[in-house]
Amino acid sequence: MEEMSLEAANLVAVVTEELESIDKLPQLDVLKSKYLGKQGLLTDKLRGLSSLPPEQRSAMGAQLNDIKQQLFALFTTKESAIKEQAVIASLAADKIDITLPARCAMRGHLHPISKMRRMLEEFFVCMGFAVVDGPELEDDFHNFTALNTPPYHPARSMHDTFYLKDDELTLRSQTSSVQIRALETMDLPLRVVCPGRVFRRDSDATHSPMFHQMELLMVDRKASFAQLRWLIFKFVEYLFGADIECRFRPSYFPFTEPSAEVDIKWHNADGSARWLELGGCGMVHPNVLRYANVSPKEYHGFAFGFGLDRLAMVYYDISDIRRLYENDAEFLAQF
Amino acid sequence: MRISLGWLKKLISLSEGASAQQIAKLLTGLGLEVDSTVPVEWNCSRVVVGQIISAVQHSNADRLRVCQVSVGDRAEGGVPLQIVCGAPNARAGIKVAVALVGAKLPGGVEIKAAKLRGEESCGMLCSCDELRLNSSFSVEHGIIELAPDAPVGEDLAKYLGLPDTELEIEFTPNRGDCLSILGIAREIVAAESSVQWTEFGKKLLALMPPTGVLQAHDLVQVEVPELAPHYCLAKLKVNGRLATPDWMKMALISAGMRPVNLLVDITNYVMMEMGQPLHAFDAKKVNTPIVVRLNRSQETNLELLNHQTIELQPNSLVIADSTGPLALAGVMGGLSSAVSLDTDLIFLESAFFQREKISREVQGYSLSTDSSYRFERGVDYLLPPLAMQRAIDLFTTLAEGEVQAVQIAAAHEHLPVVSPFELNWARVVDMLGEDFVSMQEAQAILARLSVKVEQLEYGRFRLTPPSYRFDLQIEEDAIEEIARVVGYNKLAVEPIEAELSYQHLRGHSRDLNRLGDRLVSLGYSEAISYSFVDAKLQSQLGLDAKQLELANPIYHDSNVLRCSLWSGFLPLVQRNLQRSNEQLRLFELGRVFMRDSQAEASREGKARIRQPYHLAGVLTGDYAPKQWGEQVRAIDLYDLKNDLECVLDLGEEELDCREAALKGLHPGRAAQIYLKDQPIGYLGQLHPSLQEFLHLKQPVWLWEIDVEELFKIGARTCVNQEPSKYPKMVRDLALLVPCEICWQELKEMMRVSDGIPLVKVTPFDIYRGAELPEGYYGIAVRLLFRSKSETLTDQEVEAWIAQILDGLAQRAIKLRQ
Repeated sequence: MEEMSLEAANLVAVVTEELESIDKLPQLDVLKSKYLGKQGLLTDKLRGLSSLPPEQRSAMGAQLNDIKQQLFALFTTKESAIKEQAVIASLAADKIDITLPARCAMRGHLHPISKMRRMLEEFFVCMGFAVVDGPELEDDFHNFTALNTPPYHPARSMHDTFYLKDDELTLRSQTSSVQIRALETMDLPLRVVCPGRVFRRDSDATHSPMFHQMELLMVDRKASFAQLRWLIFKFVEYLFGADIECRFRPSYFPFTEPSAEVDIKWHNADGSARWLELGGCGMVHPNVLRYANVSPKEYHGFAFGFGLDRLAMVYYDISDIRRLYENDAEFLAQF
Repeated sequence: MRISLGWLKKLISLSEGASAQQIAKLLTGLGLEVDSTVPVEWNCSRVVVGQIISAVQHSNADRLRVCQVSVGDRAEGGVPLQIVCGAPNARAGIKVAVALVGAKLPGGVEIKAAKLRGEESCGMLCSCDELRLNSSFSVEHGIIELAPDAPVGEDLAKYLGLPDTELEIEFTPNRGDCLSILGIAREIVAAESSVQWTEFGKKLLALMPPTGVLQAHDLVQVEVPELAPHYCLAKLKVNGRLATPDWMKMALISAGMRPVNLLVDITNYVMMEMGQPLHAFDAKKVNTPIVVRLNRSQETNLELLNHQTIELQPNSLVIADSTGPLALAGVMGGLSSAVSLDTDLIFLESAFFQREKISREVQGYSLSTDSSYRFERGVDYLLPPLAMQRAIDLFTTLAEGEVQAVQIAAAHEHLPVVSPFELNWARVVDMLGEDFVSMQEAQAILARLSVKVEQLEYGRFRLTPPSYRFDLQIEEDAIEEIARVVGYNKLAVEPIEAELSYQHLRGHSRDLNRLGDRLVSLGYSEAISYSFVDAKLQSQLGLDAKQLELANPIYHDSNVLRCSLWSGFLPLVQRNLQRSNEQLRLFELGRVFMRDSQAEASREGKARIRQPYHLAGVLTGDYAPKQWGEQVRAIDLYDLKNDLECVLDLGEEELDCREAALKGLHPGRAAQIYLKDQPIGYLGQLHPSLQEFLHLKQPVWLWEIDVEELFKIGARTCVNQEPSKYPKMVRDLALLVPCEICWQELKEMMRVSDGIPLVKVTPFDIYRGAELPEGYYGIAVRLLFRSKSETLTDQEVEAWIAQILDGLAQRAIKLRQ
C-alpha cells in the first residue's frame, strides 16, 4: 500500500518531465493515452483499487483521483500551448511587406481654383446664400449698361473686353453681370453668390485673358454697409483665421455706392508683410436696382466681388497665374 | 499719376514732420490709392550753383577747357575757382552745378583739388548723371545748364527742392477732379483739419477770369456749343526762346513729364497744377478765325504733335482755322500749328469739352493723352478762364508775355447742371450704422468738401456739390463722402439678420460639383482650359459649323469660342506628352458656345446662341501605372463606358452606346451616348490621322456629354424591388456567333420569353482565332436565373436553356463543342 501510494505520487513528476520534450499534438496524444488511456498506467491503478482492503480503499481512491486531475490539467495546458505556438507560427508565415506601395489605377484631383471655389461656396451656403450661375457670353446691357456703365463711360476702359465678330455679344468681363440676371429672375429678398469665368484681353505673370471671379449679392429691405463689413470680416476669418488684419478703403465701381476695396495684410514666407487686394464691394447703386425693376426706395443691397485665381494663388503659393491654365498633370496632382 | 510732395507743399502747409508714408496712408484712406512712394534722393554735399566766367582751351589737352567759375560771395572766400572741365558745352556765361572741393557725390566720389595735365582744378562741373538727377533735366551729353536766373552760390539741393518724394497714385475714373496738385491738395485739406492752404494756395483758389479792355469777339467761333460749352482763347505775345526755369523743369519731371520748351512747359505745368488741359497754337501758323466745329470732309488727314497722322472721321470735334483742322479737340494738337523756339505769338486755348464726345474720340482713334484722360473723367467746367489767367500770369513772368486779346465763349445752357439733392440723416445711419459720426460732424465734413449744405428740417438736408465734383449726384454719393472722410475702418459692423433660405438646393451648382467628385474618384484630374480655341483645330474635329468667332482675339490661335471641350483638350494633351506626362486622365466641366441652328431657322430669324455646360474627359496611356502585382494594359473604350456609367449614376444599368460617325473620331471606335433614348454625347478614340497630325505619340480617348441635356432628363428614380428569397441558378454557355452580330443583339436574342426568369446575362470571355469557323467569333456567357416566387429546379433551367439555344440557332448561333 505504501509502495503503491509512493509510485502514484511520483507519476506527476514523471509526466511533467516527459511533457517537456513534446511539441506536437500527436505526440501529446500518445503520452496521454500512456497514462490516462484505457490501458494507461493510472487507469490500471484505479482499476487495482478494488483489490485493496476496504479501509485503505477510500484514502487511496482520493489520492489517485487527485493525481488524475493533476495529470489532466498538465495535458490540457500543454495542448493549449502547442496550439498557440501553431497559430503564432502560421501568422508569422502570413506576414507581408506592408510598406509596398498601394495598388492603384490613377488618382484624381480637383483643380486648385475649384478647390478654392468650393471652400468659398461652403462658407456662403452656410451663411444662407444660394450659388447661382449666369451666361459667360453676355450682352452689353448685362455686362455694362445695367451695371450703371453706359456706353462711353470712362469705367469701361477699366476692362479690355472681348467681343464677338458677328454678334453683339461680349465675353463677360465681370461676374457682376449675374447681379442683374439674379435680380431679374429671382424673388426678393435674395442672397446669392455667383462663381465663374470672366475674360479680359490681358496676359502676363499676374494677368490671364481668362480668370475666375465670385460675385456676392444680397438685396433685402434692410441691407447695410455695416452688415457687408460684418460678412466680409467673417469671410476673411473663415479663410485666413481670426488674426489676419483686414482693411477697407474707398474705391469706385459704377454699380456700387459707397464702394470699397478690401485688403488683407498678407505675411510672406520671409516674414515681410504687404497689403493684398482681396476684392471690391459696396452698396448696390440705386440705378442698378432700377435697371432690374427693383425699387431702390423699398430695397437695398450690397455686393462683393473678388478674384478666385488670386486667392488660390495666395492660398497655395502659386506665383504665376499661367500655371493655372497649363493643366500640367504634375501640377494638378498636388491638389 | 505721379505727384511730388514738394509741389504739394507749395499749395498746402504740410507739417515738416509729415512723412510721405503718412500722406500716402491718408490719401489711400480717402480712396486715392497710393501705389508706391518713391524717394527722389539727394546724396551729395557741397554742390552749389555757379557761373562760368571764362572758359579757355587747355594748352595740353584737346578736349579740356580751363574755366573760371564764380560760386558767389560766401563759398570759397568769394574767389572764382579754376576748374578743368571736359564737357563740350562748358562755355562762358552759363550757370552750372559746381561740386566744391570736399564735396561728396553719389557712389562715394569725393572731390579733391587736383592738377589735370598741368592745370589746377579746384572742383568739378557736374552732369545730371554724376548727381543722379533725371537726365531730362538738362542736355544729355555734358554738364548741367541751369536757368539764367539761378542764384550763384546757392546750395543746389535747396535750389532744386531736393530731396523730395514722389507719390504714385492710382485714380478711379470718378475722380477727374483729383488729377492735379490742386485737386489732391483739396482732398487733404478737407480730410485733415490741421492742414491749411499756403498763401500761394489761397492765391490759386482766388484766381479770377481775365478781364479788362482785351475782350474780343472775333478770335473764335464755336459752331458746336453743345460739345464745347466753355471755350476760352487768348492771343499772347511771347518769347519762345527763353529758358524754362529750373523749378518748373523739376516739377514737370516729378510728374513724369519731359520738359520741352518754355511755352509747352507752361501749358503742361498749369495742367498738372490745376487740372485744366491747355493748348498753345503758334498764332503765325494759323489763319484766323479759329473755329470749333465738327469735321466735314472725311478725307482730311491731320498730322498730330506726336508725328502720327490720323485720318479724320466725319463729325470728329476739331479746332480749325480757315484752311482746315488744326487739332483734335481735347485730345491732341496738330504739328502744323505747333509752337517752337521761334514762336513769338500764340493762341492759348483753355476749354471745357463734353466728356462723352472726348471718350468717343479716344475710342475711335485709339488715342489717349494726358489731356483726353482728364476731359473724359471730367474737368471743372468753371475752370477754363481761371486756368487761363494762371497761364497768362506765368507767360507774363517767364516768357515776356503780353495779352493782346481774350475771348471767353460760354454757352451756359450747355454747361453741365449741378442739381442739388437731398440727404436724410436716417439713411446715413441705416447704411453706415450708428455712433461713428454725429450729424454735426457729417455736416462739417460735407462743408469742408465744398458741398453747400442747407438744412430743410431736422435731419434732412439739401446738398449742392461744387462744379468739379461730377461724381456727387445722389444721396448715396454724399454718404460715401462722409464715410471716406471719417475713415471706412472706423465704421460700424453689424451682423446680418435675414430670413433663412434653402434657395441653394434649387440650383444646379451642387449637381455640377457632384459630377466633378465622381470623376475625381475615378482617377480624373480636373483641367480648366481657355474658352477660346483655335478655329483650325475645331474644324478638324468637325465642329466648325456652329462656332463663334471673336472680333478681337488675344492670340491668333485663340480666335473662336469652343463648341466642344475637346478642342481645348488636345493642346493640353500635346503639352503634357511633351513634358513626359504620358498617362493622362483629365476632365473639364465648363460652358461651350454655339449657334443654335434650329432656333436660327425659327420665325424670328434671329441667330440664337446656346452656351450649355458640357462635361468631357480625355484619357491616354496605360490604364494604370506600371506597378507590382498588376498587368499593364492600355486604356480602351470599355474603360470610358465604365467611367460614364459611374458619372451618369446609371445604377446597375449599362451605358446605351450607339454607332456614330464624327469627323474627329476613329470610325470604328466611336459611339453616341444615349440616356433614356435621348442623345447626350459622344465617346471614342481620336481619329488616328488627327492624332498623327497633332504629333501625339499614343492613342487618345475622348468623351463628352451635354450637361444641360443630362439635367433636363433628370436623375434616375429609385424604387425598391424586394430582393428574391430563393436561390439563384447559374449556367455558362460557350457560343459561336457570326461576326456581324454584336453583343447588344445577342443579349436581346437570349431574352426569348418574359416567362423565363433570366435575371442577368454577362459575357465573360471573348475569343477570335483561326481554329474557329470562318466568319464566327467565340463568346462565353454566364446566365443567371432567379425566381421571385419559388426555388428553381435543374429541369426547368435546362428546358429554358434549350429554348434559348433554339432561338439563337435561327441566327446561326450555335453551341461550341
